[in-house]
Amino acid sequence: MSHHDIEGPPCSHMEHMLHDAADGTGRGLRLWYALHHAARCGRCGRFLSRLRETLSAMRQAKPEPEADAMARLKAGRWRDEMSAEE
Amino acid sequence: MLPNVFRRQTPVHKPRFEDVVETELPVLYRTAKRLTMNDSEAEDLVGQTLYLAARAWPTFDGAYPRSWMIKILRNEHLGRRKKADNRPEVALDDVAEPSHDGYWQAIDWGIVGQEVVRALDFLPEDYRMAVALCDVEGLTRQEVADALGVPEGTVNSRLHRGRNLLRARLVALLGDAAPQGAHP
Ligand SMILES: [Zn+2]
Repeated sequence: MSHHDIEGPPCSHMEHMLHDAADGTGRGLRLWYALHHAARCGRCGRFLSRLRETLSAMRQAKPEPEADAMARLKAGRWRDEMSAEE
Repeated sequence: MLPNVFRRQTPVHKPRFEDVVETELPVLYRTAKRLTMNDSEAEDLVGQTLYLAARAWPTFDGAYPRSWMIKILRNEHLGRRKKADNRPEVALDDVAEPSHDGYWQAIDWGIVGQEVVRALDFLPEDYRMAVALCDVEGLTRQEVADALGVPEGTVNSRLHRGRNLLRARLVALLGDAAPQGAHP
């Protein structure tokens, strides 16, 4: 298979199933079919592996909020509301 | 995934509000930043969200506090924006289909990391929130549907389209790293 063959959008009828397979929400027969198809179709196989990489990059790149802002918010005026409840 | 009507019948142990704040604060802050695109506005928005949530806490059943608080945050944000009336919503139908040029190959996956999260900021808000809440924060689609007040099917389609827009954005951002002749 040439480089050109695997670079392009996935088969349109597979796209939703591939998204679900990539993020772990796919189940049962739909998941099996998506993986089976992706193993045999260059574009869908590439789509699935790239999407998995993107999702994994997003999970790992979750920025830690600024500590000062967190401290101010933890001590914010919501605490007055809680002590008024008690 | 159980529909809401069944999920809500499960009795839950209601956590302390202070503990929920401790756990959910980073998620709320990141979500606020994605909505406002601004540090001080985000902090103010989260401060007001915590205040409103603390007031409503006695009547909240304790189930899914994350999506409950994000819903409060988003409603507050929408209310503020309506008042300011300075940022018209982009109609989702007006968002152009992402280009198929250089579909994936231009991306050098070794340098992506933070670029993916930065690229998220260029997506229209509804897509940005679906992708950020599901793919960055790890909420389930049902939790996102609860938080955004839309059906789960809407979350699915925004998520899939949002990921496609994100891919196109990454290709545009990182396309310089493309091998010669990668673009048609
Ligand atoms: Zn295919």
